[in-house]
Amino acid sequence: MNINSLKKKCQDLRLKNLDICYKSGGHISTCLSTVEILVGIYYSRVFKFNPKKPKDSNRDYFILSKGHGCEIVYLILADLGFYSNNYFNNNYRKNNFDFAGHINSKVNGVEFSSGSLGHGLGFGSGIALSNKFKKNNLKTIVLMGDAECTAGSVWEAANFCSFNNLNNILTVVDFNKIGATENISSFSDPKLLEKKWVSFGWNVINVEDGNDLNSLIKAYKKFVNNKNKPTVILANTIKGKGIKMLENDPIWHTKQIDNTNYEKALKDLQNSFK
Amino acid sequence: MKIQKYTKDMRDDFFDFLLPIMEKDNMILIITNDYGAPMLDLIKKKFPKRCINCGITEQNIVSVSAGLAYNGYKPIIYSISTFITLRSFEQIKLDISVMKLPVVILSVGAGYAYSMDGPTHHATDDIAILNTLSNCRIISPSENSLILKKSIINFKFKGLTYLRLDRGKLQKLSNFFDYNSNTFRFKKVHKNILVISTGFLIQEITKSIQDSNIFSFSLMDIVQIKPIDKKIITYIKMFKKVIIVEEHIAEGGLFTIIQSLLNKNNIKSNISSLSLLQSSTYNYGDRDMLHRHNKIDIKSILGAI
Repeated sequence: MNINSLKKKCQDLRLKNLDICYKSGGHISTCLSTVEILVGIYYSRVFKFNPKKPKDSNRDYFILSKGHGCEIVYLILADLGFYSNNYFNNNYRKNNFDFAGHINSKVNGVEFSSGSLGHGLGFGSGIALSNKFKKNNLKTIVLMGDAECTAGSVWEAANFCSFNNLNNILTVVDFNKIGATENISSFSDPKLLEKKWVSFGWNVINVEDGNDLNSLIKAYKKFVNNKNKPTVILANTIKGKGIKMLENDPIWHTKQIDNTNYEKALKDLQNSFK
Repeated sequence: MKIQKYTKDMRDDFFDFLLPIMEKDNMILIITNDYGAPMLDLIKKKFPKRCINCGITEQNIVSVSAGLAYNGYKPIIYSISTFITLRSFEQIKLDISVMKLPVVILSVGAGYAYSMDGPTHHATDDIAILNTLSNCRIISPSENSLILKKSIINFKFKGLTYLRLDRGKLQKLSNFFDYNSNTFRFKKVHKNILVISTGFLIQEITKSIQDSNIFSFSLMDIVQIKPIDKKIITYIKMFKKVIIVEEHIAEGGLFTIIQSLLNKNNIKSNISSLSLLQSSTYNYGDRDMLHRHNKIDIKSILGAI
C-alpha cells in the first residue's frame, strides 16, 4: 500500500473505532493515539502474519501490552481477515464471546491476553529469546503505554532484553504523555524516558510525530536493519488523535462516547480528514 | 525399623535426575533468580546457554518463562519458594494460568525450611495463594523419590506445576507406607485416628514413630495438594477423628483444601487443624522452636490426639 492508501486506512479505522466505542464502550482515546503505529506495523510489510493460519510458525509476534487499547487491534485483525467485521461488531463486549474489553488471546491473531500493565515486554522477551534459540529471523513487537513505563517489571524486562542481546525485539511506546487520570508529568518526568531506555542498553529511536506514518515506517526499517541491541521507538503521539474534543484531555481515557457527544466527535473526525 | 537417608538434598537429586532428560530434550531450560545448587552447577557446565540466571527479577522470570513456553520451550523456574510465589503472583496468574502455558516452578524452602533466615524466607502462605488459581497443580513431596518422575516434567500439564521442596538430607520413607500413589500415601495403624500432613512434617512424624515405636494414629501423606485427590475421602471416612497438621497457615492451606473437598461431597467428619498461629507465624528461630511456638511439634500432635 502506498502512503496515501495507508492514511486512508487510518481514517477508516478511526471511524470504525468511534462507531464501536459509541455502541459498546471502550478506551477510545488510547486507541486513537496508536492508529498510525499499528497501521505502520500491519500494513507496511515490516511484519509477517497469516490470517488464514494465525499460529503459522513463520509469523512475527505482536504483543499489545497496553491491553486496554484493544478495540483498534480487533478492528485491524478483522480488516486483515483474521475474522469478519460483522463477527467482531456483533460480538464485541458480549457475554460468552472472546472480544473482551482488554485484549484476549482467544481471539484469532492475538498472541497474549493483557490488561494489567507491565506484563507484555517480559512475555515478548521470552518469545524473542526462544526465536534466538531457534535461530530464525522472526520479530517480536511489543506496544506499550508511557504510563506503563513506570512499572518496575518493564525495567526488569528491559534489562533482560539488552543483556541477552535481543535485537529481534522492538518495543513501541505510545508516548502520548497522558495516563489514566492525568498527565504523566504528575507522577514521572517524561523528559527522562529516553535516557532511561538508553541507560538500559537499548537502541532508542525518538519519533517526533508518532502519528506520522512516514516517520514510523522509517523507524521500523531501522529496527529491522539493527543487528546489535533491542530497539525502542518512542512515538510521540496525541491521545485521542483525530477527534479534537478528545485530544490531550485525560478525562477521555475512560469517559464514554454517548448520544450527547457522538455527533460532535463524528464531525471532529470527518473534519480532521480534510 | 532402620532409618535410611538420602545422600543428597531433594533439589540435587532432582537435578541429577534432570540432567539425562535435558541431554535428550533440548527444549528444557532452567531459569533462576541468582539461586544455585551443587548439581545445578554441573548442568550449567554442560548446558551454559540453557541455564539462564535472570537476577532478582521474579516478575520478569515468570513472564519470560511464559513467553518461552508459548513458543514451545519447557522452562523450569528455580527459586526460593516464597520469592517466586509472592512477588510474582500476578505474573503467575495472568501469564501462566490464564494463558494455560506449561511452566514448572522448582522451589526450595517449603514452610520453615529456611527457619533461621526469618519470615522473608519462610513459605508459610504459598499454598494459600496458589490455591486460588485455575490451571495450577501443587506438589509437596515429603521425600526425594516423589519428584524423580518423568510425569512431573513432561510439560503436558497446561498451566503451573509448583514443586515445593524441602532442604537437607531427608530420610527414605517409601517402605513406610502401605498405600503409595502419585497423589497421596497412607499407613493404617490406628483404627480411629488419622493424622494428615504433607512435606517436612511427614518426615518429623515418621521419625518420631520410628524412634518411639508408638503408633497411636494412622498417617496420610498428601503429595499432590492441588488438585487434591478425591480418593482420600474413602480413607478419611474410615476414621472417627482426623487431624490435619501443616507448616503453613490454616487459611487456604491443606486444612482448608481438605475441608472444602469434604464439604463439596457432603461428608461430615470430626476434623481439626494444627497449623501456624497468627501470633507466631513470623517468628525467628530454629525449626524445632518454630514448631513448638506454633504447636505443630510432635508433642502438640500427640496432645491433640
